[in-house]
Amino acid sequence: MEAHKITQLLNAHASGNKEAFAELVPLIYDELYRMAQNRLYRERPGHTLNATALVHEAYLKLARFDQLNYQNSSHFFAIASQAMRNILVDYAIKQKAQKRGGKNSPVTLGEADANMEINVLDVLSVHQALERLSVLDERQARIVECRFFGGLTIEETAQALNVSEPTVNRDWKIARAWLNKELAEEKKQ
Amino acid sequence: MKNPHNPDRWKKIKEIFSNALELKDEEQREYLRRACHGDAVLLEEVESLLDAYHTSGILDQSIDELKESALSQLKNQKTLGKQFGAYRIIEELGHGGMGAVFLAERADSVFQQQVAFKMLRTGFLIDDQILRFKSERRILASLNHNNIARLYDGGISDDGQPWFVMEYVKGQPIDEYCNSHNLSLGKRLELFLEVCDAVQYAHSNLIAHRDLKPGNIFVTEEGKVKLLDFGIAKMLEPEDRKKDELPPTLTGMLPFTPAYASPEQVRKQTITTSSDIYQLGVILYELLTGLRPYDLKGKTPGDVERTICETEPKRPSIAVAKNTKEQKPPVTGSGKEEGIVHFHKKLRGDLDTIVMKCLNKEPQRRYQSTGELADDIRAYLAGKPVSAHPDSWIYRSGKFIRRYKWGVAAAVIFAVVLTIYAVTITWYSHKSRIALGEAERERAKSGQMVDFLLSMFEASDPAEARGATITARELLERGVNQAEALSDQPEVQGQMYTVTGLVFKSLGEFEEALPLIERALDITNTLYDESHPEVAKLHYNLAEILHSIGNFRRAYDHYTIAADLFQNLPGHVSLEYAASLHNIGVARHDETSKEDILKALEVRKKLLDHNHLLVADSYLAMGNFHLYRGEHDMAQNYFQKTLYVVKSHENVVTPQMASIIQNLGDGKRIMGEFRKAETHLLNAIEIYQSLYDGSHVNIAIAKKSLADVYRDSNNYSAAEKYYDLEMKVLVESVGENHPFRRPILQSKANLYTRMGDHASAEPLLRETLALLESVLNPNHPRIASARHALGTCLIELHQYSEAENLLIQSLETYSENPDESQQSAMKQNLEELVKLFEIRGKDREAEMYSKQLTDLIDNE
Repeated sequence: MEAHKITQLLNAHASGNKEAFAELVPLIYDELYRMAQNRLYRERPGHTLNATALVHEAYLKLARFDQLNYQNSSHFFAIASQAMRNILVDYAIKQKAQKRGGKNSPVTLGEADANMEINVLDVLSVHQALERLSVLDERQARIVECRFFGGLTIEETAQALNVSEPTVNRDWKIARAWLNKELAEEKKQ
Repeated sequence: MKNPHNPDRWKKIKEIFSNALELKDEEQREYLRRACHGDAVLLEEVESLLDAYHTSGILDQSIDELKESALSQLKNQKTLGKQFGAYRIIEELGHGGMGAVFLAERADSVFQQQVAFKMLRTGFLIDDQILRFKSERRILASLNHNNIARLYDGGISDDGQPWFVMEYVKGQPIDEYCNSHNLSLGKRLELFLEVCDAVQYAHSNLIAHRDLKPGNIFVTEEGKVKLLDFGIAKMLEPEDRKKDELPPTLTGMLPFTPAYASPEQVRKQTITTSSDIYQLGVILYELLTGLRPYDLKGKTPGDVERTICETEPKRPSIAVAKNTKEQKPPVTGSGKEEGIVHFHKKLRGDLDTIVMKCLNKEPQRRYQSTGELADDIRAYLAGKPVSAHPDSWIYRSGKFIRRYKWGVAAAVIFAVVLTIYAVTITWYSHKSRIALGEAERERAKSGQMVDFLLSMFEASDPAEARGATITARELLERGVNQAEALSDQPEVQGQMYTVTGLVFKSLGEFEEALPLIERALDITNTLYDESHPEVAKLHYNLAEILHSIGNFRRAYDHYTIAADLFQNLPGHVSLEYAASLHNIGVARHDETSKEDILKALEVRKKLLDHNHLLVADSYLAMGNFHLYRGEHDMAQNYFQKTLYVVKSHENVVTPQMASIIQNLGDGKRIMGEFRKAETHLLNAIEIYQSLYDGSHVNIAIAKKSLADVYRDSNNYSAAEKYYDLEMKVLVESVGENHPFRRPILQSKANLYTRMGDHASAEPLLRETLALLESVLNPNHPRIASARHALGTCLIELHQYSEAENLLIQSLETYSENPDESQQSAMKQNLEELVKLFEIRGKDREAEMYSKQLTDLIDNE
């Protein structure tokens, strides 16, 4: 059972085994697809999927298979956020390349989102800015990752990263201001 | 210059920033200056962060949609290189809401054939569904039409996802194609006809598409139309009989695209080929206007359902005109559709009608086949009449006129009217029994045509009717001019006046209709004797027109003649007869009214459904009859019946409905049930407001009734405000001389009287009386009560001699109709006279009236 494996890896990761993460992320991907698959099946086509709910649901499913302890559950959210960031960045890079290729493909199953292009580029900008931010303050970058990519609340972020809520709040405020400024300057250029 | 900081400096910046955020604006400045110790770079850095904090950026937007796409692409990547059936996946072509499309080829390499491979992202849960999927797939594979992309194969993957292999079509969606090639209106329609042909072919094989939209209709580089995904939607749908057994979340997955969904689709009702015709209508709308019929942006599923099922879309010509005016960009296409703005004149008329017929909420009122729709478009392209307006006289005339130019236009109208009525005219000269039967049938037929013509103008939406009056009016005026010249053919001239008069009447242009019907009656009187049904009908119509413009006296005369004539026509039990009786009864307002109203009720019940609003109208009249006689129990009984019928028409929004509810409200007010009265009147006002613009007479009158409720429930200030407001609206919309001013004047006078402000009441009462005298018989009970009211008021103002005259006159009229309904009015009148003569010291007269009063009371 994959869920069981994920739990094991989470535990290993939590106890300081950095290599566990490399193994963990693809498993979380898979779990997220399955969740997505399951949810999409039940939603009307075109219904926007709530990614936060997706992550939560993935966790709940894991928890049902295996008794995750509290520490691990929080931890899972942080890793899922990181996984989501990786997925999105990969996707954005591919989309960007495809746009350059200028292929005219017959997409007939559902409508393409006209605003997608901007979002894809924005995601890359956020990702790159976060890399720079992590040099200044690693924790702030992680907080943005959880909030923006993982869709977590302040409270959940605090649990996931094991810091206090006021700290998350304060860090989030300045990190958000800094990113706003960085990205606005980037756009001007 | 990016990232000029080191972590320590960043920590400092964060500290100052966080502290500053806690402070108020004025304290902040001071704090920053101190905290930065003259470090201008630091100060600027913190200040710019504070600014950035207050702006919103990317981090505040949701990226959920992007996440979803990313996840499904990941999934798709795993598909590359895999084999399904005889096909191997080569590369992804794209993906969207319902699944992904791949380029694939046959793995056995026998043919070098490239195909489109579609993987749907919904899976199947139920075995039945899988079975049905397989049988449907076989049927779809049999579709063989040049404009339909072939289905080669299909199956279900190991993890339960359905896939299809289809003809690979290189091209553009039809809307993009039209815009990027800047196609003319004609070319767009020709392309659309190809679409219709393909859909018709599939329908003849009993296959509906169910998800027609531009994204499923491609145009190849050679300009050929190809429809994709035929019947796929149906395969995904749970079987009807299974729907109930599915969890509710599963019935929600019915595959359709909201912007193109028909009302029956969003309501999850049975889908037939008619749904495709609806969707074709939406596509045609979009191709012709660059817009969609409904703006569903940002709407919740519930709102989407309501919008699609309950609201009327703007007609294409209006949508384009409005959009051009507001300079909004079209919602679809590549932005190269400047051409479309020039379409709007061409859209008005047939194309509007064709599109709107497709978009009808009721499937049975749409085109019954795609062939019919295509025929109408071909007819339009050839400049011939389209079917969308069957049997419409005005419409066909308009069509001829456009084709043959105005030179012969009037002659053509004349010819059409002649054809319609020729039979009626010959009726009189062939009075033999056989010919009579035949003529009656023919007459009924021509009557139907006229009815249809008239019904065209009784559009439920007056805004629409107003639009139609512009052209219809021109047509009518030319018809009238032509009729003037026809004095050597009186039969035709008479009919011409009748038809145009009736059309004006149904348009609500009573002043225009009046002289026409009068002339028609004059002419008809010289041609036929009174046994001809046309004569009775003309009297009836004349009465209706006179009634509508407030000339009740003349209206009454003609209703009476009409009723008599109808009565003498053998077997002539018609609604016109009933209406004549009804109106005589209501107008006469005395003991004998009851008989006529009940007879009319009987006729109406015989000819109509017992729940018809006209039946309610009769009940209402009976209710009012009893109410004015003070018989509240009987009145209540009839009002209850009225309400019962009205309630069975809850969603009917017509002036007639509003009028009945309004009258019911008036009745309840008189019975002192103010709360119910208010409810009814607010309801009536709401209906009127949905039908007319705010200044319409009917709204003013209904609001006047509401003000009466406030007055009678002693809310004087509200009542006065309403009267003044409504009077202003009324005068602005219809002028000083409109007969409907009177009821407001009268009510307001009544208000002042109750408030004891007789000086303010006096001029209003005088005007009321004068207005009534100009339209009613001098001995009409309402004139008596107006004199009575003015006389009573004048006593208070010490104008005794005039008061005496008025009160004696009103007493005389009351005495002429000594029925019970007049009793209490008479008593009051006598009391006023006694009081008047006592004040003036004329004891003899006072005594005389006092005795009459005692006699009256004793007789009770």
